[in-house]
Amino acid sequence: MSGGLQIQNVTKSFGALTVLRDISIDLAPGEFLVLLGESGCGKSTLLRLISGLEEDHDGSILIGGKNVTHLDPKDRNIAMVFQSYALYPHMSVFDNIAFGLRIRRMSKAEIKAEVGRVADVLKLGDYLQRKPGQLSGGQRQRVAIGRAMVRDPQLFLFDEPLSNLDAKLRGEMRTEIKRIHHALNATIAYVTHDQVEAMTLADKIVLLNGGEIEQLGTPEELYMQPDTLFAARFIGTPEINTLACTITRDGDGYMAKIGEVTLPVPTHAARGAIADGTKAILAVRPEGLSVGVGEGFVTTDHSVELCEPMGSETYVVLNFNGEPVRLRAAGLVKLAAGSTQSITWDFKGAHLFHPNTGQHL
Amino acid sequence: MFTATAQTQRRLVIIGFLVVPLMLLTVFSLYPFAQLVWFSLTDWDGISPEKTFVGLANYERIFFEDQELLRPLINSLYYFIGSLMQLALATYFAVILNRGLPGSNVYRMLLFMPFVLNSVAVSIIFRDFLQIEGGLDALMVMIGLGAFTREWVQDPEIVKWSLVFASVWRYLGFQLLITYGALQAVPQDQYEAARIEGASEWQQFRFITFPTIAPILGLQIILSTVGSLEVFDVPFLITGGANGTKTFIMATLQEAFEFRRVGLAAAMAVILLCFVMLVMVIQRAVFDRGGTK
Ligand SMILES: Nc1ncnc2c1ncn2[C@@H]1O[C@H](COP(=O)(O)OP(=O)(O)O)[C@@H](O)[C@H]1O
Ligand SMILES: [Mg+2]
Repeated sequence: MSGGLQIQNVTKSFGALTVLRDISIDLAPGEFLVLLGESGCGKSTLLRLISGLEEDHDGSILIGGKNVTHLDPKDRNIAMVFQSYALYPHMSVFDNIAFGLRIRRMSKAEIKAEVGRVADVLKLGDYLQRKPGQLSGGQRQRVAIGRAMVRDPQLFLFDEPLSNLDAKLRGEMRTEIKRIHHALNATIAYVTHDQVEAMTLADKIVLLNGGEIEQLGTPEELYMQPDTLFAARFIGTPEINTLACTITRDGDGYMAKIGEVTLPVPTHAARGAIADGTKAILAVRPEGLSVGVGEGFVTTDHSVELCEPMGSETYVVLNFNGEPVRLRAAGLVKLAAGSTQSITWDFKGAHLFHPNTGQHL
Repeated sequence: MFTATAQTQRRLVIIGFLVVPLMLLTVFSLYPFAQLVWFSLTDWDGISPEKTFVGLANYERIFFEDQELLRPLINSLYYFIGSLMQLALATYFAVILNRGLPGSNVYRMLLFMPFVLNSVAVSIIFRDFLQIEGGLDALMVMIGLGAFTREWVQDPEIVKWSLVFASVWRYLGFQLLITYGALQAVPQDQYEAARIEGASEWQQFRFITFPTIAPILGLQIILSTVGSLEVFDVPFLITGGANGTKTFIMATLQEAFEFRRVGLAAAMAVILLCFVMLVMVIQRAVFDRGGTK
């Protein structure tokens, strides 16, 4: 099967409000695409454009190699799972899943076999005669996915399918969706504002910001090589540490001056050369920091603002010249608030960003 | 100081809230009803201080002796058929308006307007509209249908439908509004899901809209059945009951105040009441079965 999904220079406006600007994405068959971004950045709109529920846009959309820009939703060979599930409340689970097949006038025996197959995959066999109102959130979600699976579409669209579930169920359904993706070898476009979902599910992440693509890449690329400060901040918990600094050249590397403190930063923290005296934002993931003095690394002293033991790890926030610095310590660690602690810095994965544009230097 | 347990207080509140409605109900519904039943068993003329108990004589007369008295009930059938067409139309318009097309608010207003107009005004408008060479004829001539004009009110074959038409025009907006309200409760994403699955407009209506609004439609059928048994204002004002358009209520009023047979009229009212109750019981039974299935 060739095709997948191609979005070419798509721009969408509602009246004077431009919601999406020049979006281009290329998704190979069987790939899992996550559209990630804050609420209101246009994720749903993009998904609805792909589905054909929303029309009148510039650019073109290809599904399975076929230009569907001007086709009705029903002719695009897609299936969609809605945030609200959008199940038909007066139909049983069986009828909900069978609906699309009935519309397509499949024979009774075939419908029964198909629904049975899907119910097996989703472990819904015991609930087929129930109404959606009699199911739990997770079960409803599975019915919604079942309704999408049953027609064997070219492309699956998910709009924040897990956001109505509690944390535990969300984790389970995430695994479930991943499993279904592998089992069906399906091509999926998945909208979420949750970066954990994006990191765990995606083959490819499109990070949207204000209707434009902030960065497009694999989860590793977005995490390890963020193009912008926005991307760096959006991905990863705890959030990446950012400190305003002034850069000077120092032998093989740079020195980042933050207030009275000077930290040595390797040259690969910037993608290009930086002139002396450049103002920058130094960004270091929490895992680049550790409590205590480490051999051969830079160490600084800071007072503890917050210490949250969570069992397997402890979340610590320290005060660096009034800016918060976040890190995780392994195991249960107790640090008194206000006490001064030594921190060891590892700048291997550090980044330097432009303080105004947020672009990677 | 007076103190009461929470339970006593609750009882006092409940009784307090019940007193007024129960009193009103007794004074304005139960007592008149008892009186009505009592009158129906007498030969009272409505004025004289004397009433003679006559047993079921009035009922006997209505059912077995004077068949003319029940005849106007047949006219209710026209209004009932009319109300079914009205409901279909109201649902159709409501579904279209629910699409949120530009200007749909204006249309909703226009369709609802007749309902807020005064009955008398509506009826007078229609009387003139349906006159020979009146508004309707003029309109038909204008659009080239002049050959099809009829004596809308004078022709006994047509007049009933003319009145039904006036009544439909008047009450359409009300049903439309109720149906529209029910439609608004259907989440849009169900339609979107169905569109993606390839459901046509009709299939969307058949499988999503209709099941959701069916209970409301059922209620409206009950209301309009009862309504068609009780039609009064529109035919009274347009034809005054002439030309075979008398309805049962008109006949009842005529017996009571024109022929001074209040006892007989009371019996007719009781019969109508029984009919209405019967209709409701039957329809409730039908609906409950449909509802739990
Ligand atoms: N039908 C519409 N008409 C006008 N504006 C809309 C419409 N749908 C979405 N928008 C606007 O487009 C922007 C993006 O919306 P949406 O795609 O739903 O965001 P997201 O799903 O990322 O939260 C929002 O500012 C929203 O107000
Ligand atoms: Mg959204």
